[in-house]
Amino acid sequence: MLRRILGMVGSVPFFLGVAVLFAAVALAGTPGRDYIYRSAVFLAAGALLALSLLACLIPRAVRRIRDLRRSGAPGARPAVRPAVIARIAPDIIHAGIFLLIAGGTVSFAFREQQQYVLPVGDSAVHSDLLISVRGGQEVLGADGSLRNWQIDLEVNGERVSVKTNRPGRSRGHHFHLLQFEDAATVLVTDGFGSEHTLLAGEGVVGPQTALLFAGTRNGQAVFAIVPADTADGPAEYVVVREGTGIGPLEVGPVGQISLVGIQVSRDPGRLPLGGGLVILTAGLLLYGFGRWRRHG
Amino acid sequence: MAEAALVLLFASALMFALSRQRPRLRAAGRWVLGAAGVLLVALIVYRSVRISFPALTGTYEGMLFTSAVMTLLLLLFERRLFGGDHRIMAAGAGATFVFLAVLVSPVIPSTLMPPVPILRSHWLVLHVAFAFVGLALFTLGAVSGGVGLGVADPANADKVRDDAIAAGFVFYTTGGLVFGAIWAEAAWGRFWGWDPKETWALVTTLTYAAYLHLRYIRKVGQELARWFAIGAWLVAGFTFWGVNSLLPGLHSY
Repeated sequence: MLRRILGMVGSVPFFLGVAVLFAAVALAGTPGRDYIYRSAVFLAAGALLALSLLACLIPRAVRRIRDLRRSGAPGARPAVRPAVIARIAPDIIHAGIFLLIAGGTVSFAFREQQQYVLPVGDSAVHSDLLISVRGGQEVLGADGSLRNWQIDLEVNGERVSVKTNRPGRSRGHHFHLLQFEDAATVLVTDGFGSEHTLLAGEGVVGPQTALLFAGTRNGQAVFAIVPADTADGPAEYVVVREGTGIGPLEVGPVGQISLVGIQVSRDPGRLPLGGGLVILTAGLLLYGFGRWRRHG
Repeated sequence: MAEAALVLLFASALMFALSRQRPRLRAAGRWVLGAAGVLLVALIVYRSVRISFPALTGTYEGMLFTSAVMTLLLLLFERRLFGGDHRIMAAGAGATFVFLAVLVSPVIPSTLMPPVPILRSHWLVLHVAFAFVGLALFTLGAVSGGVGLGVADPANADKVRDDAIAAGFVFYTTGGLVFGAIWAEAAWGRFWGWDPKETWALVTTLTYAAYLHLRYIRKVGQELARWFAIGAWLVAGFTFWGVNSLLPGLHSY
């Protein structure tokens, strides 16, 4: 009975049916319908694909082991290498894909990920980590062209260097640099003498008015002035010179800072996914090599 | 340079098509095809030197690379894989001509820009190069499928089709999926993101996996395999060009 079920689930028509289902559901998720990839239908299609792989792989692996034992017996003919490679390569490919599905499932269930946009010099708390951006700069080539960005993080006191395409690692977490750009700032002093450095989109509230920093024009700050008692009221956009007072709020100099977008992630599925990719690649290369040697 | 290669490809396709009983014309076609290949490789090298990075990061570069690979495949494996079959050579050169005709048309801008930091990755170069070699082989598979449908003695075309698709599957899956996933992990911290291009690349792989299962396990007939090779190429073609034009996503090529 079990053999019959394995035979049915591991058959080519079953694989084709599942592949069509999986492809159809995956395509239904493009573009912008990412919820599909978390839906029961998609997970079920993935599970069926994994089952189909396993049902194909297990009986073949058992047969291979038996064949190997037989070929190791005294007097047995040594196997022809390209033919053996061509036979086991698809099994290695299937094993790699199964590991990828398993790793993807672990990743789907347990992956933690958070993105932060921080000015250089600022910090964020992520789980039990204190992450501070200590510095950031452009990496230029010999001809002066932009090659990369590099930032220096401090994670619970440990220095971590991160570049685009070169993530940093610390305490089981990975740090990816997703964004690096210069952003305009303006210094605003409130009625109590406190200084606030505002980025575009940030504001400060006074007794009668709220000031929202909208950006710069010709080196001068542009503010949206909103009456404080009517938060939803119409805003008036004004260009404000340095040293100008708006009520008790005084606008200081315009400046520039580097803004850094980092992603902090922890993914227990990373290892099986990486292993699956290695095994899949090995299987594909063996498959290509075996075919080449056999068929020329 | 691409325009000159276009003319040479047209001429070589014509020479191969007319070379059934004319070995000299076939040899001339080979030389003309070789000249087109040299021009295409020179153009890739020139563009790479200009941006100090392998020029593989845009639609123009991708199609240029695919055309060069197709030309080189036809030249290098003419005897060993194609059995010197002039019909496959003519159809292959013709398909490369069509690629290049699209390339030199105003549809695809040839603007040369240095890649932004996220594209400056060796994994990206491997990802794109392997994927486009895969596409070139899939194209040869489809072309051979078409040749097999139209000739009286299709045995050679059928063998070329099977070999090209099997090799294409290896290159495409290794480059398009594996190397792409490794680059995505380095760049964005995840192996897979269900970007439309990624999803269609997976569907392409599944389609060709279905072909290989049908051919080598179910042993389906040649007629079905020929049509399947052509249909599967349409899926691959949409993945490479249709997704860029019709669906928003992270991929620019």
